[in-house]
Amino acid sequence: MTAAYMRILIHTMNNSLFPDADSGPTTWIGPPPEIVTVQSLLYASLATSLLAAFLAMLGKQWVNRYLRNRGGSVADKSRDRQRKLDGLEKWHFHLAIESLPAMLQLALLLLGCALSGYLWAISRTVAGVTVAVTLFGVTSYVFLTLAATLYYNCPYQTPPSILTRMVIRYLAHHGATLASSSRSLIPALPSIKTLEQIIGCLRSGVRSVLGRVGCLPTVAEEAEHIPLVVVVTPPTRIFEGVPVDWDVCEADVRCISWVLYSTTDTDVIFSTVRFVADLIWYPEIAGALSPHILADLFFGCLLGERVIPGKVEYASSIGMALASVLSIQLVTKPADPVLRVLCGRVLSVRVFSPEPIFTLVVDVLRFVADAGGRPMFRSWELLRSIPVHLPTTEKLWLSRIILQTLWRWRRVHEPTKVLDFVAMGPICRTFAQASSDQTPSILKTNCFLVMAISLGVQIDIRDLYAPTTEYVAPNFARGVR
Amino acid sequence: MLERLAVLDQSGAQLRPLATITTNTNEHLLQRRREASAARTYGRPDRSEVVCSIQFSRYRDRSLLTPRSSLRSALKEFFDPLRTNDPRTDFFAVYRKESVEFDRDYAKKYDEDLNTSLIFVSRLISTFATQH
Repeated sequence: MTAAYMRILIHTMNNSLFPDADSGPTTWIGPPPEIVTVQSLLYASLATSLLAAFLAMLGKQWVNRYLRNRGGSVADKSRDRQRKLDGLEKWHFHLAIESLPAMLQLALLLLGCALSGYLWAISRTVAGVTVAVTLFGVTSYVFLTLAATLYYNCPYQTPPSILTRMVIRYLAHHGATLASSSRSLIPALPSIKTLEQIIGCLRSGVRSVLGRVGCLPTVAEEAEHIPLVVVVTPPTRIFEGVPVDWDVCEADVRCISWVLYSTTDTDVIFSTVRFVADLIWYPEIAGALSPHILADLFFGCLLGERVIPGKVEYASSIGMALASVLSIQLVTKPADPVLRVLCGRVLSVRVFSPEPIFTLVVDVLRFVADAGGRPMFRSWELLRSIPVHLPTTEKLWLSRIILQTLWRWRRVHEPTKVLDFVAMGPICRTFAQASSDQTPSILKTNCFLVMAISLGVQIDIRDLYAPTTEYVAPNFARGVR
Repeated sequence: MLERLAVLDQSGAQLRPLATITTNTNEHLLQRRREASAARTYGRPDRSEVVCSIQFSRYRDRSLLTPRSSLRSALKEFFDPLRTNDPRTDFFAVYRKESVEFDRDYAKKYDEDLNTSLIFVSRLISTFATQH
């Protein structure tokens, strides 16, 4: 191109040198394709790295936003923080941040390819060095990714290996075929043997994703339509329209769950389980906390048939929390096999302690866990261990548990028998001894409901949780009537 | 015997007492703990910082030297979660403490990751600049 223009210029200055100036084409047809390819790769690399830098800056802002507290009380701040933490997990914030190095690695690969292509046109020897280094880098990367995908404990984790593991674990979780994939995929891989299994995994994954975006009902949504228990006659509602702030309730349970999963500090656990025992566990929020973590903590305090010395108060609080959570989960899922296993574990406990509260807690746990074989016996056993002077907080907790368990027995196991729960009378009387003016109205209402169930009155599940401090007083009279 | 333990702020060059715990009488201690629980809501130095401060202060002021056991008991009294009659308040106090520690590590980890990415990008872009 340039040579053609030079030729014309020289011909204009001295036309005796050669006869004809217009020997070659003078129109420019653009850069050669090699240069276009090289430039495209270079700019793709530049754009990718700039995008990664942009995301990194955004990521810093996101982290700062997470750390920023909003105003309000400590509880409000904590709930807000827990919601933000849950959001980070739900929206896979970790994955987004992990994808930045992947983008940078891609940018580096593009740069290597562009450089090799550019140098190839100039000098094959220099280009050879670049190509060799790039190829070595790519091969090592692929090898490391493969190793890191197959072995969890491999230290050379790369973004693609983390992503692959996550996808496989997700599919395995939904297909319930790769139960042990969290440690190593090698032993789990042969468990997907047939094509049908793989398709089944994919189908359930797609189904869950579609369900999440609203195209198909998910399993959880379908389960909501299945009646949990068989209702013999439609029960009458005693309390109606109790206002409950579900956002706050759910955030509280998420906070509890987070603390129990993230700490081993006994002081922290002690404060947490006291709160668990004190909380009103509505059926709507019951599923958010696994009773197994509480059960593990409780059994961790036992040594053979005794409590580890110095841990009686701690173990009692954990036992109270466990009884609360187990009781409400059995109300919502009476036939759950995992809960049944846990109940069996609780029933097998034989602990002797001179502490009356601990003895009571163990008896309450057995009372809750016994699925209905001998309710009369359990009731008498429980009555025997109720101390004479029980603090009001413990009384409230006990009344809730008795109410829920009785409701479950009545509804699930013996829906037709009347006056089978004679033993409940003395228990109610024990509570009623304190029905002076100082007794909280919730306790009185719970006693009333226990007696009503004992007499065979069908009570709606929502009425079990209706009595709250604000609500009981104006409605108690109506409830009694 | 009145034992005093100064909890010092080591952030600046100058030492500044943040709180003073006396282990003389129970009543006095309870009053201090009440004040401490109020201060705790608005953030307080964590255990390691305080222990460091105390060790540091020993070299500065010999009068702060106290028997190890009383130091330990005073620290335990000061840092043990203050139990109230309301389990909700107790729980959120410990939740706040745990979450602040967790979030500090969490943010630090991500900040380091993102800084690494930004340094890498800056190097990559400087390579482009030399290419063109």
